[in-house]
Parts: sequence; C-alpha cells; structure tokens
Amino acid sequence: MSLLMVILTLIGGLTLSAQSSINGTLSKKTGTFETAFLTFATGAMILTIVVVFFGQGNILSVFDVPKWQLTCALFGASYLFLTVLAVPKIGVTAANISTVIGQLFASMIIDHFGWFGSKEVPFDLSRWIGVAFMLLALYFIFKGNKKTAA
Amino acid sequence: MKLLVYLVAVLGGAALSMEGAIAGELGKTVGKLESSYYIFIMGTLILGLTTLFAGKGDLPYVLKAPKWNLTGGLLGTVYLTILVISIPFIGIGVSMVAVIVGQMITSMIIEHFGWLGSSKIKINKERVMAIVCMGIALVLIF
Repeated sequence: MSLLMVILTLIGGLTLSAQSSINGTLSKKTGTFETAFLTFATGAMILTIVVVFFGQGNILSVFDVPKWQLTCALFGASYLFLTVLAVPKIGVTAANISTVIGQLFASMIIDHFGWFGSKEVPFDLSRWIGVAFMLLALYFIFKGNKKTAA
Repeated sequence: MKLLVYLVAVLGGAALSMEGAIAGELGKTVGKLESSYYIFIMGTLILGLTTLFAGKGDLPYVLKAPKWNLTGGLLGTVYLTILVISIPFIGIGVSMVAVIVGQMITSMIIEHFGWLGSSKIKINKERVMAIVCMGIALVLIF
C-alpha cells in the first residue's frame, strides 16, 4: 500500500513537470500573465465540480479565519506566474530544480522559526550541508545549460 | 542575465512553500479541498485583474491553441488531489521527496526528447551530477 502511494506521488511530480512544460509552451504565444490566469481559471472550474461532490469542509468559513491565512492565494499565484516566466527562458529542468531549491530553503526557514503553526525544527549542520549540495546542483545545471546553448 | 531567471525560479519555489504552509493552516478550518478551491478562485481573480491591466500577451490565442496546451489547470488539480490522497498514508516528508524526485527525473526526460513543446536539451554529465547532488541534499534535509 505504502509503495503504491509512493508511486502515485512520483506521478504527482510528473504532472507538475508536464504542467510547467505545457505552460511554458503556451506562454510563448499567449503571454505569461495570460497563461497563469488560464491555469487558475480552468483549475477553479474543475475544483468547483470536485468540491461540490467531494467537499467535506465549509468553504464559507474563509470569511471567519484570520486574514493572514488568506495570503496563501497570493503566494500560489506568484509561484505559478514566476514558473511560467522562467521555463521558456532556462528550460523546464533548470526551472524545476531552482524551484525545488527555493522551496526547500524556505521550508527550512519556516521550520526553524516554527512559523504558521508548524513544528519547530532547528536549522542544524546537516541542513546547512544540504543547502550546500543544492547550490552545487544549481551550479551543475547552470553549467550544463550554458554548454548546450554555446 | 540568465542567472537572474534562475533566481526568479528560486523565488517561485519559496512562494510555493509559503503557500503550502499557510494553506495547511487554512485547511484546518475550511477543509483541505476547500482551501485549494479558495486558492484557485482567489488566484483566478488576482491573475484576471493583473492580466487585464498588465498583460501584454494574446489571451484569445487560447481558442486557437492545440487543446493539450490548455491542460495546465487540470494537471495542477490532479497534482493536488494526489497529495491529498497520499499524505495521510506516507506523511508529508516522504510525499515531498517523492514529488521532487518524480519532478526532476521527468523534466529531464521531457527535455531530452523535446516533448510538450520544450526545447531539446540532452541529458548530459552536468545534469546527472545535479541530480546526484539533489539526492544527497534531500537525504541530509529529511
């Protein structure tokens, strides 16, 4: 069961890569804002159907939660916009690896300070070495891409 | 100049983490699917307004584009649904690592063959080294 779930989640990673590639292609003719908008608009349409049938929470309670919790939408839109901007310029692999690095680094900072109700996990030595390896990975991708472009 | 684009993508990743952490809190009150739904509705409004005022592209082109070009939104919701299903079974840590590994490997394959309209970039020594470094980093972090 667990293995099946890991495989399913690997496929989740695949859908993200495919999304970035497809959006990168569409944005060349449609534009960056336009592509991000279309992705959100169609996603919202699909989720409307999904929530109507499978939703178990209460969407209307968004009016009652602390306002800072509502900023997640702004971050979500920024993520998609910035990815659509980057993919056509540096390619999907370089964009994905850079995104993952930003993601991991920011999560470690969030963990370190225990922000947003997360459990506090200190930024220890092994995490710093992890950061060093991520920067090394970025360097390799950058170098490899430069060689291909030349 | 190109280096700046890498930084843009790194920032995008940081935004994704902020989104995830905050949406997790929101989800506790409104429900998991509902918090994703809220993000998509609000994101549509924000990007709709920015497109109206700052968009320089050609939105009507989406009517002429090949239909597979329009599947980005669908894939995003498939991804979210998979995470909602898998996290209770294998936990957030393993889920994140699996997503990242899946993402890195498939993006290299996509580019190697130039699929989905991407420019063809063959798998080279540097790319393999980068994957190895990311693997080590993931082990150290999680």
